[in-house]
Amino acid sequence: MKIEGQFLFENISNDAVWSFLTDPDRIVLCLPGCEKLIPAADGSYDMTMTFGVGAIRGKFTGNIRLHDIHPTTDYGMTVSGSGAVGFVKGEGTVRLNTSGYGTQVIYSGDVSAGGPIASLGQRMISGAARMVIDQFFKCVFEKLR
Amino acid sequence: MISQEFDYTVATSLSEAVGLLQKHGDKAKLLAGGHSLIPMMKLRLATPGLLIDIGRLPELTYINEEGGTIRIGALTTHQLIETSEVLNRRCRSLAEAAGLIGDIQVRNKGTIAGSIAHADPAADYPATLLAFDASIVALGPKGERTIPASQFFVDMMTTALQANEIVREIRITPRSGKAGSAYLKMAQKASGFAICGASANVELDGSGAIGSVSIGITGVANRAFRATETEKALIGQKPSATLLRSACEKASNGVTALEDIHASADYRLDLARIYARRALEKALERVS
Repeated sequence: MKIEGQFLFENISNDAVWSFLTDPDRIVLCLPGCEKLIPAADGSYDMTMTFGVGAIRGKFTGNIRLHDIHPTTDYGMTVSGSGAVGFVKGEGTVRLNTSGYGTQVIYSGDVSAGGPIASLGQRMISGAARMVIDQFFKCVFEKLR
Repeated sequence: MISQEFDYTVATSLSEAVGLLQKHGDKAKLLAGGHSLIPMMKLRLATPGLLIDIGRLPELTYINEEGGTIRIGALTTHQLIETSEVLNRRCRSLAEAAGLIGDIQVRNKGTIAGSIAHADPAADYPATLLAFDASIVALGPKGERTIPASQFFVDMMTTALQANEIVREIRITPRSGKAGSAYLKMAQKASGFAICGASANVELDGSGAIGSVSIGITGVANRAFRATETEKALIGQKPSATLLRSACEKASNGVTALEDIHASADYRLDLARIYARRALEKALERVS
């Protein structure tokens, strides 16, 4: 499933947003239910995340990797996670634009899932992913303001 | 699959259930009809440590008409709503929505409050409750509070209820003039869940123009929403095929749609426009 969206960081500079979004120690502060990011040998990060939407709750262990990094303008991101409720994979790009109002972050990507979560929750995955992304950006915004 | 182990207790009153929620917090879930929660537990998507069964409180099953207001008890089943004389007479679209939920086995057990508290983005009731400007009465440790439907459905599977609150009743005050309502949906064949469901309420004034109109749409986005731009384009106008068509073109403006293997986001947005119009046409036919 394709997921696209954007978030405006009003009155916040491109550099400030960029350094937050590419800093694992600060990302972890805003990833819902994420306890820690542990650097792995290949430059990616392993993580444990407790994620829940309504009655659906599950613990995921996963990996997040940033690639094709072009400082202060764009980067690619690969995320994968698995737990008792199934697995989720995502691949996307994040782009930062400077506008008169601050910094606009535009994201787009593809998410797929398998296991129990896919059989019952398939129709909810795109919406749930958007909820997490929104929560994440709102939290980043609060911390930068 | 078989669910993870859990404890089970039967609440003998609603206030006891509130107390148990208060005590056990996140770990506990309420069990009413069980037709949303149990399937999720069997897939281990939900793994509550404790189920508090409120499904045996007979005082929560009722449909009462008092003055202009209809009160529906939390544990009233879809089947009772579908076949209620009062609701078919005064809230036709609600009875219609109930009759389109799942199959008869589901409707015999599933409850209205269970459905709305679960807040599945494809559930039928939210569209109709929004269109009726219904209110939801919740009971918590500090007593009762009333939540308008427009504030109740917050996001996907997320409502305005606090963790220690229980839905006690749903209240609807339908229009008493020349009014009609209808609910239509395109269902996913296997599950019966709405890919798009539209609920329309319309009331004509003395001159035959649209005096009030409301349209709720479910299944399309993270939560049900009102087609406010369509409503604005209709108000004060004399209904005609051209008017309905042009107004309903705006039914999904500004909406971010869900997407899955059954329907793309664009297709859902288009269904919202079409079903809004069809529901309106049907509601207008029913104006009496």
